[in-house]
Amino acid sequence: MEKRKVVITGIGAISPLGLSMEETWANLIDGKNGVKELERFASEEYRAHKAGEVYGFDINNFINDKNLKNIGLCSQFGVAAAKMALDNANLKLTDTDRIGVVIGTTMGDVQELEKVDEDYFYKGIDAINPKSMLNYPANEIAKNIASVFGFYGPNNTFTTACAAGNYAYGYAYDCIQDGTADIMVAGGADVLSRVAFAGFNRLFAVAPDVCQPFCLDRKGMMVSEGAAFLIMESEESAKKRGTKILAEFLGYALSCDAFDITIPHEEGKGAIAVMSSAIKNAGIKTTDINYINTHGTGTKENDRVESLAIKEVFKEHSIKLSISSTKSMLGHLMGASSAIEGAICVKVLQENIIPPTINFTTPDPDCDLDIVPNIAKKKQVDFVMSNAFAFGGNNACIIMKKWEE
Amino acid sequence: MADIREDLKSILLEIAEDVEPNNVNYDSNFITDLSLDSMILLEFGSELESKYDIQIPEEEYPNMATINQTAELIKKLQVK
Amino acid sequence: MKNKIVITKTGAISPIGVGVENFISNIQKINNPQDIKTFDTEKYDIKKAFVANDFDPKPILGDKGLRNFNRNTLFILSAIKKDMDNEINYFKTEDKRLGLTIGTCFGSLQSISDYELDIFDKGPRKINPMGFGNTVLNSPTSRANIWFGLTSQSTTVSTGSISSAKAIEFSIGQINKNVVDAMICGGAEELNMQTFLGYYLNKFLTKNEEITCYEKNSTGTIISEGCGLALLETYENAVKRGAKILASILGYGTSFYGSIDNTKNFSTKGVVNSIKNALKNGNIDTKDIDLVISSANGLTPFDSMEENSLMEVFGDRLTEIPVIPLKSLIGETIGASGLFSIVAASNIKDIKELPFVYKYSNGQKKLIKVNNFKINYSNFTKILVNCISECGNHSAIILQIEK
Repeated sequence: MEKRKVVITGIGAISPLGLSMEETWANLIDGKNGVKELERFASEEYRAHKAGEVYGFDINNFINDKNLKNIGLCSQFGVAAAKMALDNANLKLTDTDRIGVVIGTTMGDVQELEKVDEDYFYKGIDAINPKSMLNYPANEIAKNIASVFGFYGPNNTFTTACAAGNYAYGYAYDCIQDGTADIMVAGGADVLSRVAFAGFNRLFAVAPDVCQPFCLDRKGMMVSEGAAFLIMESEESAKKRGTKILAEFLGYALSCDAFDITIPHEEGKGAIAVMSSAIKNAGIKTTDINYINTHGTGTKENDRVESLAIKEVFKEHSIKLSISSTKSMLGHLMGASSAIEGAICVKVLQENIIPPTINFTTPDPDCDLDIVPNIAKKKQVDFVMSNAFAFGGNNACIIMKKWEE
Repeated sequence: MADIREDLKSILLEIAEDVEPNNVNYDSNFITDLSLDSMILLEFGSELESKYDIQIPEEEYPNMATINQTAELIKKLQVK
Repeated sequence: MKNKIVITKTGAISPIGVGVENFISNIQKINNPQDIKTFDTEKYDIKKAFVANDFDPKPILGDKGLRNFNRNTLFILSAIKKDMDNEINYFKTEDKRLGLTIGTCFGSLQSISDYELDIFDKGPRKINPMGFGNTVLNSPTSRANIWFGLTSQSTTVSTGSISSAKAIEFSIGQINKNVVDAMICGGAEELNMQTFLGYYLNKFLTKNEEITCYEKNSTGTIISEGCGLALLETYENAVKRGAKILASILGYGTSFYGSIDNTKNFSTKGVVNSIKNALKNGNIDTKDIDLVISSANGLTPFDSMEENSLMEVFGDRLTEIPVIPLKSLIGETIGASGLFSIVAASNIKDIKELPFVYKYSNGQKKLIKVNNFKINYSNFTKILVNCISECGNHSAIILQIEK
């Protein structure tokens, strides 16, 4: 049986580099840095003081409904990004039984939990708002999006840490391919949390000043926040609606390092497996891939292992590939990172421009690949891969293709 | 100051559960002799911080490669 | 269903028994909630829950390597070790792809809060670096992948009370795609102070020592914990390796019908759709279903939503279908609840008598509790496992019990 083609018809994003995908993209190809001094909470006591925050966000600028102020901030990011993706896909909300929602997140509406913890610690149990406790489960984001737009199809939430966005894309692809849904609103959302900021600091994993992926001087990652969504759809449904197709989603794969909770497998076993399987599942050859949006966190280990794994999978083709880490500009959006990186890949396929890896100073012999240092580059890109290697060794890799009629 | 090396050894052994106590002497290198990884050392450091009320800066971690070195480092940090 | 997918093994760590055998033997009697010992309940006027007070991971997992693991992780590791060890050895020896998918609603919630409270208490530079690994919701699943060396994949799904049903859905999809040969699929939830507080402050908990389902004057639910597991693989695979088949998955359905305000999420539309989707998916008629393991938990609007949905789907046929609200026997295990229902359904032949079931009264138009209902449980062949949630997300799974 011929499998249904899955296409992308809309993208939307909220990030430290802009309150839309257009603004974020323009800043990315300009090589702008979205990581600044942390404002959300006092950081004097921490080891590092920079993070990627979303500035000037007000949900009512996207949807004018006062009730949306009652849901968590992470959910609000999600609803806004989903709204923009739906508009971009020119989706009229009629037959919503066949539309589903799937998201990836690390901790969901965790700032609601932070409120609970603060009240519990400083004021006592009686001060806790019971409503906050209903707002924090991870599934609230997908629930809120589906509720706001009335989508009655499959509704799911993956909490596979920093690979969660790619898990969501994979699930959406499967739902469309097996006919459970015609359209999926798929992506990820995460909000800057004190726990993540403190935790990565305590592991000495946060860079003090700038994020420098694949650079010899790299000192770590940057904690960040935001949301991104793709409208994924069967080719048939997109054509019936007469909407513009932006790219084709070819396939995905998952793997697990089964090695350590915070450190990647030293020889990149899981990373090699997931990239190889994704290529196989997409039905293409390694030499087809022109660009990889890397996991590229900027930590010593991730970037060394990811480079090693790319070289192992792509062999001699690895020098012809361009790779870049958009985390150098956006920071690490946690569960939303692979979601926004997927959205960036769609733009790369459309525009034939590769966003750079900024803050690059000195080459690292372990990472001797074309990382598109500091300045964006024009290149014909027909096939892209986006990597996500999360905490717990949860790996997910997706592949997309330029759309051709 | 009292000799804290025996205490350090028992803290280390509690964290590094796979290490055979007889293989640990005060000059065993944590990484090359005992095969400990960076996370275990970070946890070891954290235990020492609470026990001895010190703050071990990131750049000092390479200077705590053995129990002898760790004892010296704690002495130095306590004086500060 | 593309392939015939079967359940060849189940596992359970629960407040009413460690290991599947104990679990199945103990759901056949009334179990009372116990004093909560995992945190201080002095400030609350509810001090009991279904707690696995007797659970000790050390005899199962050994003494080493457990010190940084949270309770949820220990549940999952112990459940796998206790009931799936031989299967893991088989799949590894044969070099087959064995994945792991866990559904959990709150996952590492207490670990996140503990970390936060530690930041407030000691300052961010003195917190335990090892605690951070536990704060990520996928850490219990991932630690199980590490512990047992499962490299195919590690997936954590969090969809509220239907988390483990969604884990089943995901597992079916992955097996159908042929990216794994088999999947250990689980549901896990730990009883901790944060979860308890959430339920307590929202007045979801009853002060009584039993959960009364489908009753207007019910006063709430009793929270519980544990991990339920099922090993899923294709029928061909199971036959080829000579595995004992407990049940096959005939149909799966899901539907969402919700509002951002959970107090409004009691429409039958989503539940009815999810059951109908499962029937359609398996090409099954309502008259084929002979038992329902339901989701009712003693929260009145939630229970009536399910009761009304069952009436809507089955009509008068419902009089012939016993309904077992499993949570009234083991407590509300939230994200793990669907999997515990699957474990009970898969082992239905080993059940001699349950303390009670619910029967639909056509006259009163409601489900009525019937004590000591005499029936041969080994006659049930097609069981509907109904999984509903407070957030409008619902799933239904239909199992065929193998002779």
